[in-house]
Amino acid sequence: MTKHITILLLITALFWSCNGDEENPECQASDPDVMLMDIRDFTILPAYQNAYNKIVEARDISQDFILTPSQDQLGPFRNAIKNAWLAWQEASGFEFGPASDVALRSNVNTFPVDSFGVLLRIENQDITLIANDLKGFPALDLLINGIGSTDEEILAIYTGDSAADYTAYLTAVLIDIEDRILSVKATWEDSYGETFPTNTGFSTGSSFSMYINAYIQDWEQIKRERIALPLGLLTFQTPLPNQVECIYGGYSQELALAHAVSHYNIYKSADHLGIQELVEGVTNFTGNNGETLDETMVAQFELGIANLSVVPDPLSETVLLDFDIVNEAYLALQDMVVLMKIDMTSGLGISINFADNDGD
Amino acid sequence: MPIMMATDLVKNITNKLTTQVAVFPLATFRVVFGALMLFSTIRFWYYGWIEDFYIAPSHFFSYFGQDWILPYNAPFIYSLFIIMAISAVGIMLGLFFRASSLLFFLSFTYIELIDKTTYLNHYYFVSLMAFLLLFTPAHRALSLDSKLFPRIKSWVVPQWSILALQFQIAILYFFAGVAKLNYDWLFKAQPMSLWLQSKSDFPILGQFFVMEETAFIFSWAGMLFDISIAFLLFSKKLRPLGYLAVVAFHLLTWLLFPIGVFPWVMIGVTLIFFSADWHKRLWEIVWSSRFRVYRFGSMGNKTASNKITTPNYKLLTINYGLLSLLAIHFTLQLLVPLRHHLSDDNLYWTENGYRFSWRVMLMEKTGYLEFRVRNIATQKESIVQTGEYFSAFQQRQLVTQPDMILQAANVIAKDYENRGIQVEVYADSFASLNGEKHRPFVNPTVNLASLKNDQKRDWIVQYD
Repeated sequence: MTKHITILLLITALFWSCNGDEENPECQASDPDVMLMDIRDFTILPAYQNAYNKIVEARDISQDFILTPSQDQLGPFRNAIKNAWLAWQEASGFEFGPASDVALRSNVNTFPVDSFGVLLRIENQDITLIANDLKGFPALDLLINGIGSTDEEILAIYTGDSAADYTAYLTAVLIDIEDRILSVKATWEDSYGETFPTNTGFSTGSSFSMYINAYIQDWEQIKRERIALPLGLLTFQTPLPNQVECIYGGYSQELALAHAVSHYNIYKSADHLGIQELVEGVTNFTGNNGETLDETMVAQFELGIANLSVVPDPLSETVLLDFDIVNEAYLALQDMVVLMKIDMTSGLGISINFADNDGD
Repeated sequence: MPIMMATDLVKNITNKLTTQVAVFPLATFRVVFGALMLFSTIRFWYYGWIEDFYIAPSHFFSYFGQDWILPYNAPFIYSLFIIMAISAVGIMLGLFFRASSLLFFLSFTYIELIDKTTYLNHYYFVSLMAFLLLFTPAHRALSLDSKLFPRIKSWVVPQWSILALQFQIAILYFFAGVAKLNYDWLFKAQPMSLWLQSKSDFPILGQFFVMEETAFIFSWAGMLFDISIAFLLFSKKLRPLGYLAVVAFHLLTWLLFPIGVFPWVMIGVTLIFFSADWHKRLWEIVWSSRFRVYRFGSMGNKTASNKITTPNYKLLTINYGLLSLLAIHFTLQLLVPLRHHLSDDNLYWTENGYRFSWRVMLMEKTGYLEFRVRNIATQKESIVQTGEYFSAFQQRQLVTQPDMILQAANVIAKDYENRGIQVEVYADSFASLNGEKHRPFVNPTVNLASLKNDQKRDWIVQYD
């Protein structure tokens, strides 16, 4: 009897020691996962690096513009910001771990911008940037594209009496974006980057599960915030053109397309290991014409991207003029959500959630 | 004469059920069950689930139709959990046992009835165990009650009090096993195969888990285990083997799947199948004292001749009312899991009769759903942000469970009505069973707000 109990306790202790204890470094699988290392080194880090480089470039160029606000400087500055904004689209899908700890995405890209609030704060020389809709790329859009109806009007502001207040705000927004991307990038290069590949497996809380959840959530943002909302799909078919991502610069479609393309690229991960390799291993799925899940997803990505490509900018006008063309893009993006949320996750055995709870 | 025979039979059974047997198995059960419930209550609280599941959500999915939601508010819910924890201690120590077990049963069951979202077979099982325990004299010895109120002290209890718990456990396993007798489980090793695919990183064993053969072995072994384990545990000879299987099986499920305390509950409660002798020795080891309470060496012997007399022995009168109640309870327990046969639906797809039937870890169902409302006046449609009504957990649960979808649709319709807009509610949804390609789930042309109850789930697209 005693012997039996001892054996039982020993077995239990053996199993107990590491189960569910992801915090304990000794309990993490010792071998870092090759795929997770690839995802870190060839997908996530380059995306943050690129976004960081581009915002630094934009800030450099902003200094020229601030020094001599002229039509000659305005063009390159606008381009630099657009490039940074496009680069951000490739980094916005990693909102877990370091990015989610500091709510990076909401901090740098909450739209629409509260333009009244921004102008009020400029007037009051308040550059504290306390709310997400007072800063980020949409605020930059306002400051370089939206504070006048012509370039002359905009330039007049940057050469006028309150020019210093405007440039102070502009610089604060640029620095805010730069600092935040830098801090997340630094965490990835340091501690988080080290633990990321060691938190293996597919269960809730594993690196891959967080990565996929963030990826899907970010894709849903393309279809909901960027397309469905301005198109009026959430408001009884009353379009809300002011809800587009880039209301003043008028390149919301370009941003959304870049976002969608970046998701496709993340899926494929070029020559490195990534989501596609795993999806290729899913066998239980058979498409309507016998396609594999991977083939179905690739086709759907391409359809979504194709449908989004033909939507003309500015999106804020298109949503008023051509419901169907935007809706076609929406539907293709939506079908992709179904594939991602149902077929991909169940095929890979990942549960769609961040929070833990019991099942039975 | 048949009538005579029937009365004889009843008399016979009654005699068997009321045979006096030693209290030890029941006492062990009481302590183990109470301790596990205390642990599980603290764990639930510690994870912040009280807040997440019962306080944060603004709507709940009632079992009694959407019009009768159980009252709740933060202080009340927290009080219930405090009562649960204290009464679990009461059960464990055998302190004010009747009151404790009643309070535990009521508070636990009340919490479980608030929201379908949190339904788990093992919570249902805990409710049933607490319900049955409530009627047993598990506090008559080895308890604080028996110290405080020496007149209730008795080393013997009627046979039914142990048998009822054993039988309830047997029902769980057996029905869980029968549920596994389906094509996907046995011949496609699904969803086991899907689940194991994601365990490739498991230390040492990971490489075996991803092998197709392993999925088949686990599926079949799981089915055979569930179906046969009760018989093994009832058999004196095979019991040690059976219990070893219980421990191995539940440890494995604990390691592989996120199923909380359920494995420990099962490992704990199945101890009740061991003989009174075994439990007596267990108590003697733990208590480091000998219990000299028997005139006859062997205990747990079911023959009526095994009369046990002790100084404290007090005959427990046969309570026919209680025995009838138990008879009704177990009849229902045998019928309820079979109720899905009343409908021709694909059980896994429409889930008509899925709950309360011991379908434990039986399928992998994922879904996606978006509600769409149509303004009756303008005929214009709008997508609903489901997140404005339901928590992430509720949303995840409702997308594959038709009765919850219907309740959610009615919540949404009512909300629009309160804002002065009459709407029809539709759902665009897909679901997938066991990793197959997603299929349309809810019929997107049916106004869900017009369906008040859902006996007939013809608004779910047929699974062919």
